[in-house]
Amino acid sequence: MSQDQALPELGHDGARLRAYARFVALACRAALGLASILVLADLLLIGCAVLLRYVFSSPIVGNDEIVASTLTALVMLAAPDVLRRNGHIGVDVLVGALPPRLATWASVWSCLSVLMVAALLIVNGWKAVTLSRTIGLLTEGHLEMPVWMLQLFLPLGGLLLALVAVELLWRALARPAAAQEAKAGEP
Amino acid sequence: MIAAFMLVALLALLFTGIPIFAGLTLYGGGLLLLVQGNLGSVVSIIFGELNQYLLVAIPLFAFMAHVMIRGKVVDDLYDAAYTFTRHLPGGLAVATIMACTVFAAISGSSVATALTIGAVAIPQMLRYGYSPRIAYGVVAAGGTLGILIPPSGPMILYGITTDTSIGGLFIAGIVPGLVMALVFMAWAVFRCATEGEAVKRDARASGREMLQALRKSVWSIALPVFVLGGMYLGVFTATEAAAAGVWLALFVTIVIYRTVGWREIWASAQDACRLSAMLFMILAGAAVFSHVLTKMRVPQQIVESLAAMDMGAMGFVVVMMLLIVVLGMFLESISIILVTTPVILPAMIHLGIDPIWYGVLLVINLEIALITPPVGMNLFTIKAITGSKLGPIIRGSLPYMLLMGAVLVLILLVPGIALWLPRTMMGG
Amino acid sequence: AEYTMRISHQFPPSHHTAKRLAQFAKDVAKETDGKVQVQLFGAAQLFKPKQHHAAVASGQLEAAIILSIQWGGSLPEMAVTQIPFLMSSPAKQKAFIGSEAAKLLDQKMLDKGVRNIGWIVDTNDLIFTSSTQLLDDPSKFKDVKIRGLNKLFDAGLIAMGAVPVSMSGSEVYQALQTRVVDAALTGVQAASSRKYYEVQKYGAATPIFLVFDNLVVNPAWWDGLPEDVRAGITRAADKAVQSSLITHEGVNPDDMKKLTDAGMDAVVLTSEQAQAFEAVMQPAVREAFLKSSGDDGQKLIDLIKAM
Ligand code: NA
Ligand code: NA
Repeated sequence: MSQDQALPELGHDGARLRAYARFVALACRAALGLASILVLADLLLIGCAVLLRYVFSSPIVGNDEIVASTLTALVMLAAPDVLRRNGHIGVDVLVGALPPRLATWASVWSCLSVLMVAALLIVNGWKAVTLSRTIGLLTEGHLEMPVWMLQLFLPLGGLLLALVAVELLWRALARPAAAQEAKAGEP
Repeated sequence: MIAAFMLVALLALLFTGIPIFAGLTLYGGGLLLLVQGNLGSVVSIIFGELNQYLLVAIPLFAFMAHVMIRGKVVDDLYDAAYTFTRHLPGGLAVATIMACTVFAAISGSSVATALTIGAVAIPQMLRYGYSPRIAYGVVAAGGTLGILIPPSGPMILYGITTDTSIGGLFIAGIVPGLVMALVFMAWAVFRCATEGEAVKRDARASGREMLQALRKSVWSIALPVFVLGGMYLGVFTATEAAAAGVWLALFVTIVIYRTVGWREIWASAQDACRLSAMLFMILAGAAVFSHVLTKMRVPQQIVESLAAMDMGAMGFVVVMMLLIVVLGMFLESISIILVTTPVILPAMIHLGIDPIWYGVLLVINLEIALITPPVGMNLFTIKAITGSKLGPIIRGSLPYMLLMGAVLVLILLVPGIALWLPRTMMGG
Repeated sequence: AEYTMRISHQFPPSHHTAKRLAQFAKDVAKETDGKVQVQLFGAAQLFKPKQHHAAVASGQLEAAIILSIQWGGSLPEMAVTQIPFLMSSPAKQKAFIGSEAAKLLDQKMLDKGVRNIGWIVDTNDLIFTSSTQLLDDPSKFKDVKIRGLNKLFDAGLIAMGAVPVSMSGSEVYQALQTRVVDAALTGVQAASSRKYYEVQKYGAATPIFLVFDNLVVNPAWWDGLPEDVRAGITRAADKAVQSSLITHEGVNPDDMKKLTDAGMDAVVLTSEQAQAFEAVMQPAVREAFLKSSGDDGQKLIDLIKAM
């Protein structure tokens, strides 16, 4: 997998950045672990549903409802780790050809755009959660789970994305300084 | 005019290289702020897009592919394919397009097809010396067959929206789907035969070698047979087929091959999550963008003004197809169906256009949309599984875009290619 | 126009409610002297059906159509229309419009953040379709895998011994075709438009319950409209409701003919057969209804019985 490539080197950046990066990595990995458990749960659930319906003629009630409800969580929990590994897809046709200085600013801009989306997910997502609670929205089907609980994953995902975006921003801004230091140190 | 300006502005934003999900979400949100002064419930659009049972096929098929890759089942499969085709130019490319065709009969989604076959096929084609560009193009294009060969998600949606027989649409997709697959294969052979740094070709394998290769790959060939069989015998639905595929892949790799344990399962699940997150975040962004466009009535007004022109049935279909090519650059298939078909339906009925014929043309056009930049889900899918730059993927897909256009024109001129089978089978 | 009324709904253009709304748009323009422009967003192009409630309550949209069977547990009293044979006759349906029971439910919807301005009738019939046998008696449902409707109505199917399977709408056609499920139930017109006759051999139809397509509006927007504009919209909505009322007894023969012409073995249940269904299904669904809706549920049943 392409995303398994090593993370960018830290160079001369401070211990604070290193500590922060460790914390973010931990949070992202935990979230990804949860997401992976959800995939396995979906697999188990659908497998049981087929088995019960076909072999025992008695379906699991609300199976499709649970599976659907795991997907938002899955995406919101896995997206931050993808971001941390620079795995999110962008149109790289122009950016790939930029000189290093401009490339740095492009990645700063990219981090800012993610930060804005993260803010959107947090603020607007929280609004959605509140609204769903107020009007008592339930999922469609037999289980009728409160929608606001599922929607909570949106601001949560936003929070995680913001944590990662801040790290990437920090790295992007720290790297030119580090590069200059390295240059000055050359004989 | 305003619409064109809006699309160019989005293009510019995406070309700054920010993640596509961010670009689409921010652009949609920005338009909303501009037009109605608040962000409204943008995030609930994202929630509505993601909270769909049918989407679970994507992580499950990704999971299946990675289990099979980690379990080395795929190596045997491609060794067999290579043994059978090594004396032909572009043999593995042809085998991959065939695999796409078979998988398209299992899945109703093009992204699922490109994702599953691509994860498996691209590394193998590279292993056998194919250039990345060829490998990417073959899968990006072959994957689009997922929505033309039944079952097909977009056909179901189109059928419900226009009151057209879904069974009829499914049957009508078969012949064009096979024609398309053959055209792709012919191109792949031609391309590989003429390319300078030709893929190495070996002597034809002996009957014994072929038999041996077949025996080694029997489990990987059995897998799609089981899944297809289970689907058409009514054991499970099209979406459940994805889970059935994973269970079978787990059985083969754990019990028969003994190459997969907990560690591999866990790693495959993580890969499935990452891939799904990449693609679904874009789907979410695309949903926000098309929601805002729909709310501003941009596509509706364009379609309405075109539908109001008096240009005869053929002219109408041609103009619609051209419009959908443009919309297809920016919008996702589902949105295109929902914003265009209800508006043009009255004109279609009035002009006496066969809805099944139009449906097939529409779906082929949506296939083109999957590989046209800037928003082409199959391009992104290839990028997600390979980590390649977008440039080579787009360049690899470009010839197929033109070939699809050619097939589209062919069916435009000879409707019988699409309509003969449903008319024969359903007596319509 | 001074005001814009955006209405989102889920129906394809050929659905009778979609057509009625197109007429409603014209009527509103006429009744309000062009002060209000209605913009229709059909076929769920703007919002998915389950998003309509939140979209209207939050003011993202001025109006939307919410089906009476879509509320589920978030407004359990609305399900009274689904109790088999309680109010499916044309007489009860006519009496319900403007009744105390309707007003009670209007208030319930208002409590949930949306104001209902039209009880547009969608359908009062249902057809049990099957690939193996004519499901014309409750005894034939034993162990039949059937695509259910919703939690409440499925209680009636379970009472007949059926095994309701829940499944997303876009998977149903194929699931019926490959016989993942043996049977399904849907409105008689929907059985035509969704082409169930292509994949189901048999059909047993009966007017069993009512489905309304409620036209709901954002209360703040509504209250902010001038008196005369509100009155104009109300007149247009009333006209839509009146035109939607079902006047024929039993099942519309034209709808049945479409199915039989397409080769389906479709029949309308006799009154004895229908009574057999009522005897098994009504108590089961009523019990489930009362369990989720409580005192107001009982009050609604009493009001409707007294109509
Ligand atoms: Na397909
Ligand atoms: Na595109």
